[in-house]
Amino acid sequence: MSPDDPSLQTYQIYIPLELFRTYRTTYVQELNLTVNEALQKNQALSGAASKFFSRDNAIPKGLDIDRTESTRKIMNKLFMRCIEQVRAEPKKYIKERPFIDRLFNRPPIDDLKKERPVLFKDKWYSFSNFFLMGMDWDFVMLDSCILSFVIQVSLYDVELDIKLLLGLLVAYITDQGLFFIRNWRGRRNLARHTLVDDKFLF
Amino acid sequence: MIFFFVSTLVMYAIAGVQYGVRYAVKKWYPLPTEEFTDLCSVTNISVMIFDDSYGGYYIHGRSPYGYTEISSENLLKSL
Repeated sequence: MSPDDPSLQTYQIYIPLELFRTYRTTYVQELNLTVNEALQKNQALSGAASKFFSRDNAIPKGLDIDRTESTRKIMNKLFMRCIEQVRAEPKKYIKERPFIDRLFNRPPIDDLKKERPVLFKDKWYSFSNFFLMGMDWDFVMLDSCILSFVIQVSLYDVELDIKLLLGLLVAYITDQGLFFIRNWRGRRNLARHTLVDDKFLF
Repeated sequence: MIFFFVSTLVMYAIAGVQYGVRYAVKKWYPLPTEEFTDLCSVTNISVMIFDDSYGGYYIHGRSPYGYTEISSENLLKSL
């Protein structure tokens, strides 16, 4: 899409505010309504804790997705028109994101006020943050904290010779537990937002 | 305090090396994110992910040939 980087496929996108508002007020609202109706029909569990540990399908049974089909098609066309607009004049709409904006995650206010889409090149696949894949350094910091904590606590036990190994073991077990929760909850979350049954996720 | 600093430094160094190695071998063992974008290309599907109130991410999944059904040879070439 970008003439100076034809193989680049990933971008950060800011769409015109009006289009985004239409998306929120028509499609998302209608979709939420349909999902909530299906949930109420199924008499879903109401407590937050029971919902968290629920083993039911992420997508409620009997969801009448066809109801949202016409709105979905309209929104799809509007988004496609927006992308075609960028493809027609890539130099105008595809930009390099300024360092300060990237640092503070500041949206391109000027372009948004003019109601035009903006795409920033995303060579480092930052969309993976959305799938909770960009938390590697947070996990390293957590491991380091756990390791230090276990060693500090075990300093009182003079006879314990495996302080470092114990710390590593506790950090490893904690990591594995968090990976499991992330994987399990992530699949359900993805299924709920994409309305694809989690059996099809691999 | 010094122990925390040293252990954190060592763990970050190990993680940095792991990252470096992973990126060095990504030509032969692609990253899951790259595989996902390739999958989007092969299936000719573009993806928009909104994560805040102004925008999000866009994966341009247009197949280089404009359609999904092509020969394996051409598919391999385009990837």
